[in-house]
Amino acid sequence: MANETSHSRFARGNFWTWLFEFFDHYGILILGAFLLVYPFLLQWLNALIFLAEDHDMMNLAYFLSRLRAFIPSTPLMIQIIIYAFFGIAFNVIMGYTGMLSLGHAAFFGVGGYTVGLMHHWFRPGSQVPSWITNAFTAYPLEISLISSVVVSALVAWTVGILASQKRGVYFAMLTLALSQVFYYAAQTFDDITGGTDGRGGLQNMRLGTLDLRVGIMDAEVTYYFIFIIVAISTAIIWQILRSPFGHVLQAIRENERRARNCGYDTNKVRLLAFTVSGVFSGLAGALAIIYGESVPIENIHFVTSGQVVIISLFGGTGVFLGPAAGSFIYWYLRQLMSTEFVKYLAIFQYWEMWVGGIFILIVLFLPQGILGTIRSWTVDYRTKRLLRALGQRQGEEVASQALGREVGDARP
Amino acid sequence: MPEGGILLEEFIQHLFLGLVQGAIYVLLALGLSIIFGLMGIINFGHGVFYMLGAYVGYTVINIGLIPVVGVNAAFVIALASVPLVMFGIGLAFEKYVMSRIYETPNARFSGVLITFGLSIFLPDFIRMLYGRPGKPLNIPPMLQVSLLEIGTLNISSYRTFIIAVAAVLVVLLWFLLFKTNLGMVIRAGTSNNTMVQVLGINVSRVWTQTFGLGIALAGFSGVMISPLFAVEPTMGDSILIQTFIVVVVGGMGSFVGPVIGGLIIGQLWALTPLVGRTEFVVQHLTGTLIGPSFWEKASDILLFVVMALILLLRPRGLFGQEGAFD
Repeated sequence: MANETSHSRFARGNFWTWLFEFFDHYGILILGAFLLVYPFLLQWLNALIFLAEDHDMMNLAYFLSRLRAFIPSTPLMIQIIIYAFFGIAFNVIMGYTGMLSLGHAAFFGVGGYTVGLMHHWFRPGSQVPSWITNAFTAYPLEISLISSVVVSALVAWTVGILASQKRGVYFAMLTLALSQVFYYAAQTFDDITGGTDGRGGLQNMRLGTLDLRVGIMDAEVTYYFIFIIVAISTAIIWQILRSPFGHVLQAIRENERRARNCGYDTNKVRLLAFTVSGVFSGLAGALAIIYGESVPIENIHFVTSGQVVIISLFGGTGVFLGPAAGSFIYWYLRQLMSTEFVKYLAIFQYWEMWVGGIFILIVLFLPQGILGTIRSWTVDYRTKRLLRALGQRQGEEVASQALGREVGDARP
Repeated sequence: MPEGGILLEEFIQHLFLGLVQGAIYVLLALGLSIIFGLMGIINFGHGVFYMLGAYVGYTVINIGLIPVVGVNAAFVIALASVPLVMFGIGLAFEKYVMSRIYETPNARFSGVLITFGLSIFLPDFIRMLYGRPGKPLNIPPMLQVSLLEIGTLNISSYRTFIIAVAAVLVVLLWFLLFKTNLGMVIRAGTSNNTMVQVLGINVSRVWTQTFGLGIALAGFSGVMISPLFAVEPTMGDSILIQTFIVVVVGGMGSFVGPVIGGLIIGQLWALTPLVGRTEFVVQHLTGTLIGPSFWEKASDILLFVVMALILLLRPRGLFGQEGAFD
């Protein structure tokens, strides 16, 4: 019985719920804009520090540089963005389809190895036919990135065909087994992959069409290059998840048998979702190589699969940007603990202990992750206020009827 | 051109080593399988409890027992106390951490995730307490003799001891599961947990004890194997996944499955390098992708391929229950 007055009066929640919902609706855009200008913000902070020093404002300079120690550097942000992207790709099957995969490092690693191996095989002077090396030297990053997408798609499709028939924990263990086959293959065929040392010293990290050099020496350029690719891909994933296909994924997560009864071939849908997830995970892995200019074997090891699971759960698998928040928390805290906190208390060098402990606490007490919990608090708060207000409203109406006069806002 | 071919002593040596490895796999897999069969939780912490058992054993031996009772007795005391301590740790962990998630909708996933988190927490925790490098744990003098030496074949008594102890434990476990009331409840709970609750049995206590039992087995395996390999924080990583392979191949939730599966996987692990030395491989496959150098290191890949095959073709494993998973 809510008319316009009660709707606007009761449904607003308070300032904090409004704030959260604002971010919930526009968060992706806000985050994108923030990340776009982030390197400039860092530069301004640095300029401010220099300015303060020039003007002999030493206290201010000191305060600002202490502050800067707590602000992620550009390389750290690159890593955060890459793993956020990895987490979002992983969340396509984890949060939206309800499939816990413990082997996503396989795709991350394969994407990375594709880039690394191409740069290694097709360098000038190798035994490959010269038309290949010439083409590659002209457009290295384009060729290797597109190849890594294609290879990841093939690998994800193949693994998906094998794995997506299974459900639940068996699916988890199968993905674990299959991904470890990739790891041990990378370790065993070490003349190709460089084994446990990985494949280092990659050269010619260049975007041919723009003649843009990326890599460790050019952190800012690399940042924007990676940011643009991640932004476009995230937009694609967002659209996929908003589409009818994305809703079928969620239907499968909620009740697969019912989805099947509605006529969807759930096995095919799961395979497709798995492939999409794998393709973008491979792209994330390729981007990770581009910055480091080397391929560490850890990228294809179970540890990386575990990292993406932790990251996604920290932030919340029920929220699109959950893994992004989780990636920030994970890498930021890890950096903070191992470089800053460790100065005060030596036990902080054991950051894995903290990560593992916090992870257990989150699974126990905040199973929806940080963003997911905030979202459900917001919903709870507004629902409670709405119900209380509705109850009050109906009470007023009944009282008005009974007393024959106006009580509160209601008329008899 | 090398000829290849394997001497009989080499073959028997590898068989023996496979038996030792298999014995450890059997103990670990039994623990994992019992926990999974009854509680439906895949314990990703099994590897770190294995590692923890080794460290508990190291601690017991090195808290000053040796001057008092001698090395041999200290070792025996450590071996005896590790399962008790690990049982207690398992009880506490189940009661205060694991039991919180049983009522939640995604209990199985939460169980996997919590134990996974533990597998990240514990190694670094141990590093904090004991330092990063490994610790030594030596074979006691009474078991250092060699039982049999023929050419390159060397049957050491400690390894035989491992096999013997594992065999005794398997018999004891069989007795526990099939001849005692607790075992009957465990088997019933594995089969139909709701029914057991309906019959009025205190399921949560049985769950706690079962978890403790599984952890005790894991820790005991850890301390038993540690004189052969170093006691270090990462020792549980590879063994965890290998234990999964054993349980998947043998069959989740069964008793015979992990035993047979452990023995099979142990042999597979030990005999794979020998394939690279057979005449066929050396003469025909040298230089190829699957030449001798591949087979030297191929144990791990082969184990995973076997696990993947079983998951695809016969998910319940050799002796598992039908229809438990799809």
